[in-house]
Amino acid sequence: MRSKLMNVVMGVSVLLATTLPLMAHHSFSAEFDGSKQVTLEGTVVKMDFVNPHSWLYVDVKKPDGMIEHWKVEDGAPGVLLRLDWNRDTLPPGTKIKVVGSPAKDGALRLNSRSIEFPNGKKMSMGGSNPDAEQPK
Amino acid sequence: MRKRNLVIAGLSIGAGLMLLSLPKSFVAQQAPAKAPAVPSNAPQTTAKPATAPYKQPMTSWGEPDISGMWPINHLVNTDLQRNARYGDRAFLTDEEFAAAQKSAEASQKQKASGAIPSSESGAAIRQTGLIVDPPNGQFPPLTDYGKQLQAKMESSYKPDPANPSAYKSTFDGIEDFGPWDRCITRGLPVSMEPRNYNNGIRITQAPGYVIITTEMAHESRVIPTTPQPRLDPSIREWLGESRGHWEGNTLIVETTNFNGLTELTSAGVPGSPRPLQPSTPNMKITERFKRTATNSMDYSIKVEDPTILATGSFTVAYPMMLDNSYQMYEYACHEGNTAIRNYIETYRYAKAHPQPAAPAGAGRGGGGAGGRGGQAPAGGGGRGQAPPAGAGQR
Repeated sequence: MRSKLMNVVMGVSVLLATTLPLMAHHSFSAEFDGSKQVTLEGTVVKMDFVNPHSWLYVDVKKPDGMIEHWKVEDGAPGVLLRLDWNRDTLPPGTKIKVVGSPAKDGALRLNSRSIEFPNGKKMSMGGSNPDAEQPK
Repeated sequence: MRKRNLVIAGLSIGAGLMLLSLPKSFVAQQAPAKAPAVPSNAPQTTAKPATAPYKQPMTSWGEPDISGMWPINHLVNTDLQRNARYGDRAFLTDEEFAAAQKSAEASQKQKASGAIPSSESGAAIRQTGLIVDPPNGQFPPLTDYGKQLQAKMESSYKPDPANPSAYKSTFDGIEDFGPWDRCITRGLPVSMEPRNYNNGIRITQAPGYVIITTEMAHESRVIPTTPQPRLDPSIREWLGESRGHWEGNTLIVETTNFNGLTELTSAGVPGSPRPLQPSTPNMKITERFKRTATNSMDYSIKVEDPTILATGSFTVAYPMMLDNSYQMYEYACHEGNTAIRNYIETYRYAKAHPQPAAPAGAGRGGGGAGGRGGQAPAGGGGRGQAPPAGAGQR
């Protein structure tokens, strides 16, 4: 599969508290750093609808040509289905932009906030950051 | 949304009927009974007015029929513990109820495109909290023994000893996790309490049996409704052993033989006390199911354990709402529970790569690259697991 120019942007942002904590079945903060926000632009390798949290696999091509293999944690399959996801939403090869919070240990893992398709359509991925600002 | 309207319409009936079925001590202190405000968009239902006796349908074998899908999404906007701003009132005023409904609908619209929404919770109920006993609506204080057990509890939602406003970050083995982290169970009574997703509760019946299946985490309790010998006290189970019987049209389920390893509260249940509360093998739980209309049923769950609860017991009660259009998806939590490995790896990485201490006063979101402090759980502005005084606005 081919990747377009990829860009990884990491920055510290102040995230707005929501009115209702969006807690996963376990603590978000033990694994991910909610104070940071990472944006990936890459190509879908596969989507695993598994419990308790789904995982999206994205290949990101760096400016030097190296490919990074990212894993993006998402909501439970039941949550995604209620968010209008289905098995055909993210076929392998789809170009997407993913926004989320990175793993604390530097591993190529992200807890998702939302994804954006090339046509500008955005979808929530049911990430578990309790302080994530809701996509509009 | 049809589902939401059904919930709202049924809630008005259910809340009113709850006044008739709750313990006298609870009924006596609630606000003057006023007709619940029914939204103008609520559909007409076939349910009879609260004053008319409800004719309980029966199964073909002669037991009251309470089967169906009874999701508790409509409770997710109500705190487990009553917010201090309501004082001793068990029910919202008409004005508060209208505002709560408006807030719930707005929240639902926001969540419809947000993270972990799915509760379809654009409704509110009349109660100021789900705990109806003790009368103050608060989780009871722990005995000294309860506090000893609590200190030994482990969970990813355990407060960080060095920073109680945050969750702990020490995970070096499986023993550092709680049963819910490990996808074993939420336990009772938590399995019958709402959270922000997977709120489905399905009741099926067979001659002499009632089966209660909870979407979170895909568990079924098979409850005999005819006399059956109890298990030997030496046999202990995560969800205990349940025995049911009918008193008129009310199903009463008594459960004992717990293993004492579950948490009596969960951070995921809005308005829960913090930190987590322990359980013991001494626990006895009594649930009551009484259908009050075609689409509503009174439910209560009383937890008794004098060894850890200073008041000896507490009771959660709420109206259940029938919604057979709700689809319950499999939640085989353990199949991909990568959190255990990832948390341990994260802790060990942080241990091997210590970061400079965060500057004093750094708050939420202040952690730098690789910061270990974790983020503070929602407190001032949130509704999660927090002391009653910290329960925020909504």
